[in-house]
Amino acid sequence: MKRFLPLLAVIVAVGCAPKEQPVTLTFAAQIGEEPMACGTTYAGIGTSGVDAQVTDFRFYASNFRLIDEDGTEVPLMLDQDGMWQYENVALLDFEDATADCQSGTPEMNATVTGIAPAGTYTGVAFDIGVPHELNHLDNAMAPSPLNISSLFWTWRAGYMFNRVDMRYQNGDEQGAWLLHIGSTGCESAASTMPPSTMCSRPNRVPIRLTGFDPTAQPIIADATGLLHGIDLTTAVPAPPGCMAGPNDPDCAKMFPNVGLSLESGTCAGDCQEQRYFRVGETSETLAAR
Amino acid sequence: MAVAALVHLYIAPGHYAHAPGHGLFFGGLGVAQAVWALVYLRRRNGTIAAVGYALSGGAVVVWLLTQLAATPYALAPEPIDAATLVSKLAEGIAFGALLAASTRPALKYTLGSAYALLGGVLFWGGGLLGEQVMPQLGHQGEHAHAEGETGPHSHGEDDTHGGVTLKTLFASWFGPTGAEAYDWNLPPGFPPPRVPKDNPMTAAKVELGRHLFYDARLSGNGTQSCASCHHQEKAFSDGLQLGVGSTGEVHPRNSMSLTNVAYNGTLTWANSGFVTLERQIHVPIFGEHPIELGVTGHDAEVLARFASDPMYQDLFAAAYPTADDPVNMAHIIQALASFNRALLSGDSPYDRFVYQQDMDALSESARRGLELVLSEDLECHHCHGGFNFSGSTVHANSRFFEAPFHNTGLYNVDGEGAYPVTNTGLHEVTNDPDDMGRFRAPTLRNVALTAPYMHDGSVKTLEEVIDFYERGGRLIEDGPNQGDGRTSPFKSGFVGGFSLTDQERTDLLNFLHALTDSTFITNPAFSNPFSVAP
Repeated sequence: MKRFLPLLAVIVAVGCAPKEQPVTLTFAAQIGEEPMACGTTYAGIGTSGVDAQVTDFRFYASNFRLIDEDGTEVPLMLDQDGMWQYENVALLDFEDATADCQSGTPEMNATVTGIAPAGTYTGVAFDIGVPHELNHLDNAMAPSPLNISSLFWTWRAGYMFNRVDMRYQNGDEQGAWLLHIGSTGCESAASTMPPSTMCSRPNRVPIRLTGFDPTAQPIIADATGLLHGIDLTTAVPAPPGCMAGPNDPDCAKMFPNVGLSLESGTCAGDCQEQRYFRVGETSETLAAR
Repeated sequence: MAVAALVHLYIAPGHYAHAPGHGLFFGGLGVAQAVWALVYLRRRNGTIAAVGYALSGGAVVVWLLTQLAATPYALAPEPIDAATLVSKLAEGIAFGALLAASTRPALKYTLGSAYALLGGVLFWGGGLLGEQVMPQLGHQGEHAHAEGETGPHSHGEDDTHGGVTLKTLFASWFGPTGAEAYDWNLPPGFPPPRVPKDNPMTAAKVELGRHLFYDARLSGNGTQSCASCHHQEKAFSDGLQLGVGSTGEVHPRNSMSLTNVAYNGTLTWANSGFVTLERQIHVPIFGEHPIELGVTGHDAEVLARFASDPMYQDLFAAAYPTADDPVNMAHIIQALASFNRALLSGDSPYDRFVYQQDMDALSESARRGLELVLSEDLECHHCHGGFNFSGSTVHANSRFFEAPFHNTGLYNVDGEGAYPVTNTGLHEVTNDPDDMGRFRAPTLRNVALTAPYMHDGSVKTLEEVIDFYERGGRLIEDGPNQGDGRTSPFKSGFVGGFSLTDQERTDLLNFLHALTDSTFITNPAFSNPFSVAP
């Protein structure tokens, strides 16, 4: 019998090998119902209804999980493509460096690809942000996509998790409204040194979307959701807009829109009250309605 | 088995092109099968037969596993097609024949199958494991290693695209085969610069470039060299408001510092097309509007000056050892580009503080100034960020092209954001109205050495630069350029103005001075090689 042990082991191993499937999540950046594009002017933005252009629209998303009908979460292992995805972090990038998108890069990306156990999924969860252990690298030496200087603050503060910049025109008056979300309350001897402990306000935004097929329907990031209740023309400088400063009145208005408490840097309530992300329609789901 | 070996070897390169892991697997399997076949022809015993079971039956098992479960290094289980089905059937028959030929008929089928399964699963499991450990061997149909590539490429072309391949691995293990590898002497914290494939760095080229850089014979009338407008002690700027060419013509722009030009996303003050030094260097040499070195029309004469000089004959021959006639303009430009690329500066007090953990390298005041530069109140770092204090930075490991241009509100001559017509920045290149007054943010390194400031040298001191940004744009009260840059519709959202106390102003200045690299401006390797002008 001993002779057949290897054979037995092999059969067990094969039988237990989990089946996997490739998964592609598709994102779309929108201004209300309109797709975001550099150089396009959108009317009626913010509570004062000004004309505005989007000058940057990028975010890091991480810790992707697929959710099945029972609510069970399984991790999505991201493809390591050497460019957009590193470990469990992916960069979504909707600007192409044209027109007023001067801070950006020509490269764009609207998908996250990876491998998950084979199954039927009805939801997805992820965080907007870079995990702490990757958030305080040396930007010059970090692997892509963590070596983009326009998405990096400092060693101490780490990366801008979410960068959505706008400029508006209100009659003759024009100005900027800038939104950079990242960790705050990080402590180190100088900004050029990484913190030795966790930042007191991580400001990672947990997103959980259910009741849809994440492999077929797009996930919409809607800038108008970020601007709910905000008047672009009355932003308090400096900066005009919100750079996650815990005492910035513009942040006090914006943070509830992503479901975060500005004070704690974590979920306000159950983290479900956010206006930034929603499930989009495909032509099939539209037709079915 | 020999046939299987040939088939596997034949398909290996094709698979390597899209997933190196597969190519290496097929290549390795093919070689192993070929070697086994040769051995089997000469000797037969239990051990050799067992290896044979694993190699032939194992291949079938691997194939089955990849069909039914997951394929390592691939996106989806392999599709079943006729060619592989037939070849695997053939392989299976060979495996059966091998078993039948066995000298131990009693146990041959079970034991042989066990070996085959074991071999197959080991291969397969090794693949799954390898996928975790070495993900770069995975499936990437098309990808790019570096910005500036004309398009994505497959793994088959990795060695010419800066990727890691067996070829480049062997090269790194066994040393360079051709030219001596160049030692950048990279400052701590600096990634390697990007270098065009057709102009690799060599010490000989840098040395040739250094001589040419300081040699006035590289101008049409023999009066100016590159160094005439790029003085080492001023971090390779010239201290003048505007550059002056070899014929006395005044350039509309201020001569830029050459500090770390190897990392610039684009070259010069405002030209999105100058992505390599090789391309940009044509302008000072051949440009006629304005004339700088003024070589156009004197090309043959300039080349003859170098071709007839024994010192240059040696320098060119050392830099281009395989060229029959190495003295030509293409080589002059390549050598100048190589010397410029070598001008790395990373030994300022700031660098010692950040990268060498010398906590005393910056004064308390300079450290407060550093925090101001990185603060959201001043917003300096949004355009002057990163290790080179410039948002327009690319290097060998960059996968994204970052080369922004910004309008800082320096002018607003018509109330609608216009710059003086002779100097409108990126707009001159693109003619796009939105690009009015947009310029590249230069590095802040050595900034205390490079006065006067801005593209037209119109701001004399660092103190005035700070005042300008504090106001959030420049007010020119009279004259032809009258206007308030603060209200320009083209101005960057980050130039919103701020308010500094006297102490903060001092702190900021102290920090900017702490970006001066005295090693760089005295480095003999970058200095004038001629004790007497040639």
